[in-house]
Amino acid sequence: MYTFTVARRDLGAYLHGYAGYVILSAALFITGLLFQVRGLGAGAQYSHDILETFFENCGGLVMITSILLTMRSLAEERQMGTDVLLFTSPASDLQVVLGKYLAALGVLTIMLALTVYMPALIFVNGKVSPAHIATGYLGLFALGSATIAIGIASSSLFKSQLPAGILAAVVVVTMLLGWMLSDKTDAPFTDVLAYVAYWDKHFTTFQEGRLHVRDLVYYGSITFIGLLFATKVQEGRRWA
Amino acid sequence: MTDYSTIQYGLTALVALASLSIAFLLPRRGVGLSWLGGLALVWIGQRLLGGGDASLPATVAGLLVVFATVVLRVRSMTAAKDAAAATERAALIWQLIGTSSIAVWFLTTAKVTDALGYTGDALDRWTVAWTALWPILALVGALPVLLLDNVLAAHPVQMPEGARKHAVASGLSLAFGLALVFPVNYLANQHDADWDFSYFRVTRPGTSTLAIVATLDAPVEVMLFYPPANDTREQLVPYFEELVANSGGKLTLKLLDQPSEPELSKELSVRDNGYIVLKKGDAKEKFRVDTDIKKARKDLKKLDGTVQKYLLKLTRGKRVVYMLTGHNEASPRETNPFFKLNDVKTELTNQNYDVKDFGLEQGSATAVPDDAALVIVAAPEKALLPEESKALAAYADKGGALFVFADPQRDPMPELLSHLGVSVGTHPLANNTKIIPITNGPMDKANLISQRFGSHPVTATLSKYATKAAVVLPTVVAVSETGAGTVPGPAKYTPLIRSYEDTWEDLNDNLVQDKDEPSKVYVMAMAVQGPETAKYRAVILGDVSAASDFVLERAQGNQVLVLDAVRWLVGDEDIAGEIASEEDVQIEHTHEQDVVWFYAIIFGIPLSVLALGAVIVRRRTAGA
Repeated sequence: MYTFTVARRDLGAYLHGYAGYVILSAALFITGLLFQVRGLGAGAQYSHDILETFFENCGGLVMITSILLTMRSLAEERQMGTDVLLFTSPASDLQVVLGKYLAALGVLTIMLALTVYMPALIFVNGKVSPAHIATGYLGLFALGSATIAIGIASSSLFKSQLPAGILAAVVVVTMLLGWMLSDKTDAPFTDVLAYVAYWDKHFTTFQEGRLHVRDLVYYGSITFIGLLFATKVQEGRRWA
Repeated sequence: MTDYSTIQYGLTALVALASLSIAFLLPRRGVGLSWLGGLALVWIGQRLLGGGDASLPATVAGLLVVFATVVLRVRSMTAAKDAAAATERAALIWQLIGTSSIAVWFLTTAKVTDALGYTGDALDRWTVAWTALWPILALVGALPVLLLDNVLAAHPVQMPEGARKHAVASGLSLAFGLALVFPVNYLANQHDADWDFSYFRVTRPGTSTLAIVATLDAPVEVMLFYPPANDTREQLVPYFEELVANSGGKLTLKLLDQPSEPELSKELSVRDNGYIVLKKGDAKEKFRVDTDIKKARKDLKKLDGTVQKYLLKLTRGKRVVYMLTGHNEASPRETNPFFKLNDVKTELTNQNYDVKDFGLEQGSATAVPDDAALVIVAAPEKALLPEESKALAAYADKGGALFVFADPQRDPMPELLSHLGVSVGTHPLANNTKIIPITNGPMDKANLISQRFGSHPVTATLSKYATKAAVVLPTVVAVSETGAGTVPGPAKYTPLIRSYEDTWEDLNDNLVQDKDEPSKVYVMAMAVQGPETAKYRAVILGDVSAASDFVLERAQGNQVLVLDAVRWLVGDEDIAGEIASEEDVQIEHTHEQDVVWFYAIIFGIPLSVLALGAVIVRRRTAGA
């Protein structure tokens, strides 16, 4: 119950000020621009290629937006001194973290919902299946969920938004590129690094309309670890 | 010692020194970090520098750092009092647990496994078990140590009662959370289930194939060799059932399992399941669609075209199409994709035509061979010889079929076309908006599209899908009716494709509409049917590029136009229609659509969201 109270409060903070709309508009502007430049406006292309390019563009944007949305979540509470209110509220640390996670996920969902007209244009003019579009969006949602969890975990460590955002970006980029080191190490790190590939191994399948249980488990695991970490850090603050 | 080794030694010393310095620079928080540095150094020595000169020194340095941090921890513990001493003691215990991961890792090394004599499966089981355990031990030790150090740093004077317990509990829950994630992901990876939701649909029979089965003159059997309850068979059956239902009883369907039909399989040369056999009398045609649905998906998407190809082979005799050569015409061998007609040749071959060259060597200056079902004249660059024009005219007068393509800057074939009562322009038509952007430059003004089709068997299918199907005509010339040809009697002229009203003929080839270039509707393709005295059929298309590989691979409308034109020309208009395909299509837009979409997509939606946000925020502000 308290989870949704916190989520409502944070969602309100996103949508009752200009910041949320500016981020949403900027994200949609960039998605539209990329869709036009790399997709529909780039000459004759097969419809499934355009759809995959759309999800690729959106994937990048989802990661950036998720970091921008979450870098302030817990750090700002500390900076403004409102974390004291949270500590004294009946909401547990887990509920606070989950509420902030759901609020960011809500904004991301709104953003993704506003992009639906782009694959709809491909659907009308080409030969792509609604299930392919739904799978792509499920992938974007999973990717966003994991990145939001990383962002919240990072935000829990700092008093200021900027270092929180930078750390989250470093973690995401490391996970994006870490697989390149997989052939430089031995077991078990070779397999772990190859498996961790945040995009190459786990998101491209969604882009192509293929749903793998392992990819959902992967993004779910990152989300779980991120939120667990943030909760433990929050709990630790009570003793600091 | 190599230079590379020197670097390794230098780095080892640096990491060891840095690890130890942390312990002294951050007296309360640094011991745990130093200890982690030591563990990392051991790992670097054994794993990253495994074959190098610095491997042993790095490992030894790492072990020394680990040992030193344990000593430092014991010292801190003895110096501390009360809750702080208990916290240091807890940190020491977890530090030792973490350190034990080194010993567990050692069990996975060749020295131990060789000594134990493990090989094969036993070695695998041993290695996998300890390889999974040592990172967990390191994690379980490290996280509580770091959090306990954090507690010690946060409370240098008075430590709250529950802080130590909370630090250990948090560290352990994080460590076990992480440790849980690995096996869960391992299992998910090993037992992965997947679903492919990309576009897949088996074709339904196209109107053309339905027309073929409706006009069968003798019974045809379709035999599907698939095991019972096979996914591919499930997809194939509805398609063939629809054909059977439209065949007036001439087509029959049999579902067979190859191993259960040894004699029939031998007779039909079917060696395995996964074959479709079409049989008419003693004649048979067969093709393969895999029993594995994943492998069959690609073939199922274009099933209708394949079935039609083999049905035509089985039911219609082979006919010959001649392509005039010797005047630098567009041809299947051309390298310029806008003049390459390989796809036309392939499609004609699929329709059971034999495509042959027709030049001076084959007698183009004397007479068209008697077996010609159709002669294609594909925009000759050089003028035809008068004798060739006469031979083609004579062929037409005998009831022949001519598919004549024109193009700007190519020979307008006055002698041949005047015989048919038509003429073609030599300058391209142009339009500012109803165009397909190919070069994204001024040249695109000549790349016209049209969805304006005449009422004729050639354009019947296109008209049916006029809202969706457009014909692309890159650099097209006007085709005009000049009155009666040289043959007595009234010929029938039917415009097939018209341009839009704002099209002009670019007389000076500058792609700008000048005053002497009025806008009007131009005919871009014409069908001519000869009078009673010479029942020829001819289609004159003002653009050979419209049938080129470049365009046919992109524009479905052009494919339909070319195929239906051929069918009408040879008298097969009863089987005109579309070939159904569920293969992906290329999306291309007109210049007009591009402009609208550009603004709507890039600016329209984001600005709407911003405006909505402004309204909501203002309302809230006003309300407050």
